[in-house]
Amino acid sequence: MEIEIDTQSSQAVYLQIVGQISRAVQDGNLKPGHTLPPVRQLANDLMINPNTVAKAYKQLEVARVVVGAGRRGTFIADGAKDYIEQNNKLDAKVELNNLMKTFQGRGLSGKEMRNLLFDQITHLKGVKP
Amino acid sequence: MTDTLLLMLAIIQVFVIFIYAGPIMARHLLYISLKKNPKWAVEHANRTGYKIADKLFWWFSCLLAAGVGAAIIQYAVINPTPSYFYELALVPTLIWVFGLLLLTVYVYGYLLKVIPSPEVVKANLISRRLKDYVPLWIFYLAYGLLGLICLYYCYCYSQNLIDIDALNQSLSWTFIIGSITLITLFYSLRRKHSEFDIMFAESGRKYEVMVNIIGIYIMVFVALNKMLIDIHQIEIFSQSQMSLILGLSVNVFFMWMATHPKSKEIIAKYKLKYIS
Repeated sequence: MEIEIDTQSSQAVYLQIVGQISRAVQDGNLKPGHTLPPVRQLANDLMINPNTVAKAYKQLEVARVVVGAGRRGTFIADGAKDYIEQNNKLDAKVELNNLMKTFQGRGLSGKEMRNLLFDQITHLKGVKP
Repeated sequence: MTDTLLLMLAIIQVFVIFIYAGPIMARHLLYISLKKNPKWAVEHANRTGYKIADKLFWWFSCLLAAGVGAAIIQYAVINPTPSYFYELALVPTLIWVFGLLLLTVYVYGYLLKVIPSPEVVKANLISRRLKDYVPLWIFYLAYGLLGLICLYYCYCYSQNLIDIDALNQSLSWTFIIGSITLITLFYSLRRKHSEFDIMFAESGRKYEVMVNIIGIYIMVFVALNKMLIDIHQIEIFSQSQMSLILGLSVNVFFMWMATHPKSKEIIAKYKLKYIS
């Protein structure tokens, strides 16, 4: 299982690591109990600062995707997939809420927003109805 | 019998290590280092640093081969001196390995720093700690034994069973061998790309670590054998027999690496892509 980071991307490197590890867990490529490489190894392989990898691992630990066990290493947590899905739903809720508040401020009614949302969902490829 | 075998080994090493397998192993090292940024390496195939390193190492191997050849003629034909055979079978190989270590330092310490990092960097999410490949007690046992041998030498010196020269010789030998094997082992775990990965895919790194561990245990065995000779005058293997075992192991390992089908692929790719 490989990850790749784009140093020219506008997204922070640590967020790229977090995103790719989370996606690998969701896709089933990283199973619970899998040992992630040590911070220094991943930093050396990706040619980045170890603090960046440590920051990514910390974020994944806070999101309960990985478990840090000190010298024993960092493992994919049991139920990591469920936590990622929960977090994704929570993030979507927060972002939708902000978006709706913005549109409400611009004078759109609840019915108009609902219609727009359904309209966009039907045009989005790969989304289950 | 042992002397004849040692002489044969001294002749074989010239062809196996210095002429055939050695330059291949050096090219593996150069090729692997270019994997840092293959795109850049292809675009800058006319850079000189790698060519110079490649040529210098080839000349170093040839000079060593010529030197050993001359020494073999001198001590086996003109002035037969069997007592030098064990040195002829082992010392040139050790000099060659030292040369390879210097090349590694030059490549990773200088040449690799010139290559810029690529825009998109990939990394494997497989952990490469020592305990991911072998149980840690195997590693600790080897260095524990080396430590015990050193302690026993010190104890015997304090009891006037050995002189200061034997103590110094054994302590410095153990320190040098212990340091080199330790550095090699951790270097094989630390580096991102390895020729073993290319040759044996996912099991490659495990094989590399196991080769290193076997190397450490051979060194422990050599130290133990020397200790028994120095202190108790018990000779399980003579110095010549030990040289034979060590020399044979190194030659077999080099031949195994150099004749592997993937090894030829590496060399072909290296020549085709990175050297213009």
